[in-house]
Amino acid sequence: MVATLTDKAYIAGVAETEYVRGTPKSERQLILEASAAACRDAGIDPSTVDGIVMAWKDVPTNEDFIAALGIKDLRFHSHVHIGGASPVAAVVQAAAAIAASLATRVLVPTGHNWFSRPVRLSSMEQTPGGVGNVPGAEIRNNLENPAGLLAAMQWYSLHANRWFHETKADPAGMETVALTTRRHAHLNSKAYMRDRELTSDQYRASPVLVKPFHLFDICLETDGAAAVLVVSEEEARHMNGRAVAIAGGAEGHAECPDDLSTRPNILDMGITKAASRAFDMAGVRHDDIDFAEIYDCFTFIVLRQLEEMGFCDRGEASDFVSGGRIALGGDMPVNTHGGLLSQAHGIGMNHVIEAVIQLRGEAGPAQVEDAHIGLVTGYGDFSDGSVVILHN
Amino acid sequence: MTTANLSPVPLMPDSPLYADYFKGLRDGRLVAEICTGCGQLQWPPRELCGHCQSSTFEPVDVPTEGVVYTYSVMYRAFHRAFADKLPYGVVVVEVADGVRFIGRYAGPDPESLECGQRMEAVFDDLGPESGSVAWRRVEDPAPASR
Ligand SMILES: [Zn+2]
Repeated sequence: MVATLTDKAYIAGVAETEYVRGTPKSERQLILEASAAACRDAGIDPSTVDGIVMAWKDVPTNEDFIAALGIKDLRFHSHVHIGGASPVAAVVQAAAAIAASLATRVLVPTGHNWFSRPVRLSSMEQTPGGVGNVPGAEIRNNLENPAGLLAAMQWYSLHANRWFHETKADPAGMETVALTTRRHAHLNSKAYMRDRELTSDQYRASPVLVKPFHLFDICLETDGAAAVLVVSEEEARHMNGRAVAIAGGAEGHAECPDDLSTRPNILDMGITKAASRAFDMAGVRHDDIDFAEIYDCFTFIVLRQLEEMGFCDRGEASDFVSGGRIALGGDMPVNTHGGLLSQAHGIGMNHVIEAVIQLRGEAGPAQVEDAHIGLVTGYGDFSDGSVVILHN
Repeated sequence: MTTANLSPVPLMPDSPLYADYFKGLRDGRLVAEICTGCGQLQWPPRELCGHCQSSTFEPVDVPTEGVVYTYSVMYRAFHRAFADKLPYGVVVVEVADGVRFIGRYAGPDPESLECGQRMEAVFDDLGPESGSVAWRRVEDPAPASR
């Protein structure tokens, strides 16, 4: 029999700092503040946390957490380094640690000052190896950088352009994702773009930075941090009744996970492998998903993940997202908070948090009706993938 | 502002794994590695062969013509060295079954790049200090000789 994490762990607390462009606070301070706030949201004393799974970043260290939160007995900690796939994978790892009785109250924090970092990913000042924490540094430095390929939007364009060639996918789906997500952000008081309209004309008139990405196909660069607290079933029973159960989850890695150019099939992604594992563990099917929060560093990667998860065939995601299906009120609303594209770049922890808020029924004007099962994805580095399925 | 930003190209051919490749470029050849343990061709170069875990390799010439597997066209520069070259293309060229080399596109009209176009390598696009293979379309008229 396959071991399962189903309903062994719950997300009992969530918190995020303000998402801003420009902050005097260090990433460490922001992440520690979000972590303490997640404990308060769950109604527990931060000093009783006994596990930490740090998503993506190396700092804060476990020592920093112990000092800042007054943790008395840290029994488990780890770091997950798969870029934007890290937060969801870290939630699954926290659930696994709890299922294995290694810990009972596990913080999963992340954060990044994308806007205030010395070199923004959108700037002309990239330096070899300067992105940081990216795998395959020798491939980047020796093969890609000299050819003028230095930034994330350039890497992922290689995937997008092959996808268009091979499947004749309709690029209109990218606009659908951009505009739908922006409309959702208008309903979210924490969204950086809550007050800024985006019309079809504006989208189409925006410059192409790297083919095929218009400006509005590319996510925001904001500063901020976020954290969730994962607890055992027994702990959840004694908490505030707002805990959301983890039904299943998984991570996945494509062949050649450090290089898109030489991957046998560039359309293969980590989520191609991870999705069926997560669905099987959760015991649910695609039709059961009430809403999905899908990692959206680029509009096209939302479409690609829908395809690789099996919501539709390769090349057909543009059809899938048409007709309002992914908008609030549609069959499967996607990125109900505004996502990385229009809420903020919370490294996808904002996606986990939004799913919890939806399943608590606390999403206000953006609430999905009868929301019982939500799916969250992560995507990072060169197509690493992660999926978690939550239910209330 | 760091001095690294002022170098002509963001080039760091600093790894011994790539020594054969860069030597090949200077000689006008495209060089991959072949595993002496199992005979499997390896690209990009790595310490261990992923098939037999041997760590001994020999350089092997690969064809200098191939077909575009994927590509990109840049309208924004992410390094000063490319600011005056916009728009420019980057192509991933498959030179043998499953063996692909990324490089700068050095031919005319980068905005008309497409998957499937035939390319040939050129080795002089950024000068002797460059480590970048570049590519031009076979079908385009040959550039005037220098
Ligand atoms: Zn071998």
